[in-house]
Amino acid sequence: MMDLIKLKSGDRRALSKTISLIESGEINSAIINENFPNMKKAEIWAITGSPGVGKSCICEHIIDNWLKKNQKIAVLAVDPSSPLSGGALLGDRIRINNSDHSENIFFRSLATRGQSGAIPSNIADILNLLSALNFEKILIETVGAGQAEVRVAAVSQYLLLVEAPDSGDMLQAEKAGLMELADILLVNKSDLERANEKAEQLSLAFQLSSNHPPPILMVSAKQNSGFEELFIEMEKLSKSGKNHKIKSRISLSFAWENLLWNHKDVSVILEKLESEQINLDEAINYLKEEL
Amino acid sequence: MDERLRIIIAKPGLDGHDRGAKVVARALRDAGHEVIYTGLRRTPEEIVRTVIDEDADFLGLSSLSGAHNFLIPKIVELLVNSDCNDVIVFAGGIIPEKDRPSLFSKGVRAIFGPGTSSAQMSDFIGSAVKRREDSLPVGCGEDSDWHWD
Ligand code: B12
Ligand SMILES: Nc1nc2c(ncn2[C@@H]2O[C@H](COP(=O)(O)OP(=O)(O)OP(=O)(O)O)[C@@H](O)[C@H]2O)c(=O)[nH]1
Ligand SMILES: [Mg+2]
Repeated sequence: MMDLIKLKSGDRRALSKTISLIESGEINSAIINENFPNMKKAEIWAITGSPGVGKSCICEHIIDNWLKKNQKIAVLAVDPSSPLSGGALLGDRIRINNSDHSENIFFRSLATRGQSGAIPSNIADILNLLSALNFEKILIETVGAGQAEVRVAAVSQYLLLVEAPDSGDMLQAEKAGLMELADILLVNKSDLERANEKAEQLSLAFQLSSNHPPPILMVSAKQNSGFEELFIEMEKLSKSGKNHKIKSRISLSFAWENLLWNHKDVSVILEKLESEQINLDEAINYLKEEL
Repeated sequence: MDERLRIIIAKPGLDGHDRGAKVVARALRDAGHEVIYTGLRRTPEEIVRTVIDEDADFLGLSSLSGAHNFLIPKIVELLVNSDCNDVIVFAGGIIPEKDRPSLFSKGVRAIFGPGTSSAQMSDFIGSAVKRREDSLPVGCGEDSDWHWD
């Protein structure tokens, strides 16, 4: 069970044990909200992008900046579980050298554990717990697996999308969905050739599609360059405290989707659709009434 | 093996040999566990912090540089002081036979050398889990001279 006295006294082990209980589904938000009524809101940042673009290396710089300001931070680093063995190799710590450097940083690696989305579905509960325990900044590094990444926008307040000149291109449609949601676009590995080209492509894409393009910044995590500009933009966002309209839309649509897939008759409806006993309109009408 | 455990593989000290640690991490992942690899050159304090934050069941220490006699007991001591008596500690790498009894007596439950197979590791993990289930001492701070061999 959750050890409330230890938790509230700031005991790290009690916190990490409680996160395990949330991961295994033994504790949910309701219990947390009940025990921590006057919850402060932590600032939640997510960093996403294709595998290998340098998310972890960038995290290291962001963490450094926060640690220098003496802030209390939590990092959740998500990696995929193997569909074959169910095991996972959680390797983000290798690149985030300051992950274990101070009492001011709590760092937890999470496996997706076969969830369809690229972030575990109970991550929202973990975020609630961390908020309740007065973490000031929370950083989530996601798996970087395309479409499902839109989910991170639903649980985070600010979204950093990372691209690199050598990164494999995401499907256009997936990328468009994410780009629309990003608060800052980072082109990492600016030390490599073609980084400028990548940045130009991105800004062109925005000129065509968006009224309020996010800032596009060039950084090199390897050479530690470009981060002053990033921290200025992050500070601006942090001060604005805005939660974008579009993100509310996404949150709502995920909540709705959850309701749908948890609907008691959903498998029956699916079967009837497959065997053409009913058509799509009938299915929707039925589910609508029940929801 | 049905149970999914959280296992840390750590490289303490200045030792730069990481092939073995990576091989072991992958083998444990393939056996169905969630494995966190710390990367090179961690201090005992950093390793203990990682064990706590990650809620690890097992800690595997890889040492090929000869510093095992100092670093491993130090890590166990810190674990015990941090209320982590129940974490199961094992080790591997270049650890001569003559140094092993002393490490076992300090709470290390298995030591593996070059040529270790994943079957051997699984066998150790299985035995340790069984002891836990039977309420027998097996954690690094639990009083017992049991070790796998
Ligand atoms: C490859 C190698 C290197 C490479 C390392 C590359 C790398 N990134 O890993 C390089 C060239 C960099 C290197 C450098 C040095 N090396 Co060197 N190296 C070796 C060598 C030949 C093989 C090690 C290896 O990779 N084996 C393959 C892997 C898969 O096997 P393994 O590591 O043993 O792991 C297996 C088991 O031990 C076990 N295991 C290992 N860790 C763990 C952890 C757990 C939890 C478990 C369960 C199991 C487990 O499972 C693994 C799979 O079976 C060994 C000699 C040898 N035959 O072991 C010397 C050896 C380890 N090196 C040695 C030395 C002295 C050095 C140097 C100091 C040499 C120098 N004077 O410059 C430097 C030090 C570098 C440093 N900063 O630490 C000595 C160490 C002597 C000692 N401990 O008393 C050895 C033993 C050679 C010798 N006979 O003298 N080395
Ligand atoms: N040249 C160059 N390489 C970089 C830079 N940043 C990161 N890298 C390298 O890119 C590789 C991947 O970096 P990570 O930070 O692990 O990338 P990631 O996006 O976190 O990767 P996953 O978590 O596996 O998706 C590593 O080999 C880094 O050394 C950079 O600015 N320039
Ligand atoms: Mg990473």
